[in-house]
Amino acid sequence: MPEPPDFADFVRRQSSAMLRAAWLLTGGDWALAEDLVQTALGEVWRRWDRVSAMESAEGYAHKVMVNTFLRWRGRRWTGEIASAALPESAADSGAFRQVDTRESLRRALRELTAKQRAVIMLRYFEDRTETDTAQIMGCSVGTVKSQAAKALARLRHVPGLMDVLQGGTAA
Amino acid sequence: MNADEQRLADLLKQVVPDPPRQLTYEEITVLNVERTVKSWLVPTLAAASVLIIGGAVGAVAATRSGHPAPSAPAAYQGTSRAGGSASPVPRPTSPGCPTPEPVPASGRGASLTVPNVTGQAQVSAVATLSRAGLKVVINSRASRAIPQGIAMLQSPAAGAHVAPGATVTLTISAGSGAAKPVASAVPTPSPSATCLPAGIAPGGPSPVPTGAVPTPSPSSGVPTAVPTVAAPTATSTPVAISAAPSAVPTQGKVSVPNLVGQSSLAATQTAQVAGLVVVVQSQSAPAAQHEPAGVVWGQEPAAGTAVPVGATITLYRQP
Repeated sequence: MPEPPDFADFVRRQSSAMLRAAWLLTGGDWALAEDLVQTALGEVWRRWDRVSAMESAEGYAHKVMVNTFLRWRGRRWTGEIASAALPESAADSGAFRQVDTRESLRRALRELTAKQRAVIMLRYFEDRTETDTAQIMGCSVGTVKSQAAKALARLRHVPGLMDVLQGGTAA
Repeated sequence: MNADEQRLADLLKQVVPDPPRQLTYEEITVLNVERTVKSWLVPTLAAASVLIIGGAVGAVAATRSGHPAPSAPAAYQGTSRAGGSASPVPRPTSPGCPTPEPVPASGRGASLTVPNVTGQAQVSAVATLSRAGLKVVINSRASRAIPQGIAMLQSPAAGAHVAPGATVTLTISAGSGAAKPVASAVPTPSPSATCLPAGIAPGGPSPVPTGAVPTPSPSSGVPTAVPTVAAPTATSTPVAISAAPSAVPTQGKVSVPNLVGQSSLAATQTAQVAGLVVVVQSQSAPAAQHEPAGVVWGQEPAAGTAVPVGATITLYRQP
């Protein structure tokens, strides 16, 4: 059974975008992000003959990834993530400030529930509509709205990130 | 979007970093090797046991009708269902098959000890590591001393403590250079790469969908498959007689491949693809040879012998 030859190509094109999305989902943990993308693409690979015929194989892959993440959340990545000492803050240069912001974002993401992270990622990182987001997550538009609102409310109270959100000081 | 939402959207796009590295095709497919192999293994073992038991029952007493291994019908049922699906590599049908996330529930923070897999055949090495919750990357290197298909190096070494899901790099012997390089089993991520799952040698167990009779690998290029059942020619009782599903060319000679060091299943398939009929004998290796169980330690005729297509090759498997 010869397989469509373009799965390798698909992986090459999608892995970067999926990894970045997974970074957000996993609260900024590259190892978990790689695990997640790898698992999702493994699923896609097993159904590649059908997926490759789809209008948007990419959308399907993202959907599998989000659903894998939500399914696994109880098992693997909701535990508190111990992190090493945070870098000194109050740096002046733009590069340092961006690292600070990234650290704040990581901490902020870890305060969110898995579902809230998924909504944040789909709505604000991938700029999907509420309808698309609901469809991918398999929930109602109302849930997407309420989860997004709750997530935003929490993010506003995260120190370091709040300044950015209100003052726009990201480098 | 209100102002806050817009700010968050801008922030995310700026702050989410680029990944430190890209995933490769091999890393994704290697995760599926074990389930692929297993899904191929189940019907093969079922077929083998049916043959043996059928033979035994027929020989011993014709009065006792059908006493098949309890696993065999179940395996057939399960696999024929899976085989009907359009999926190129079906989901595992056996409860023993691994889940895609073999990491123990203890999860992060726990560390595990890397098992020693050097000296094992590639398939069993990969299986052992995946079961332990580790990821595997395959390299290959020519070696005169180590038979083809055997894991000769592993990194990190056995005994090292790593996080669950860590990657272990295996170096598989590609044989002495004259042999078929295992390296071709690990496709490079080029658009023209064949979609052979990493970790499966070209002659080794190909990802045969469950329920399907293992057919010769596409590379053999022979259009028709003629399943034949090997007659036991050895004096002692054969442990497993596989139906040779490979297409048997009507004429010509083949050079017997070197199968020593491979798992008996991989070796069987390799020999069948080469057009040979296989008899596997379970027999302990001479004391000097320390072969892991399930590995072929001897073969007759020896590698390199030219034999007619359809000839019988006897493999000695470490019990």
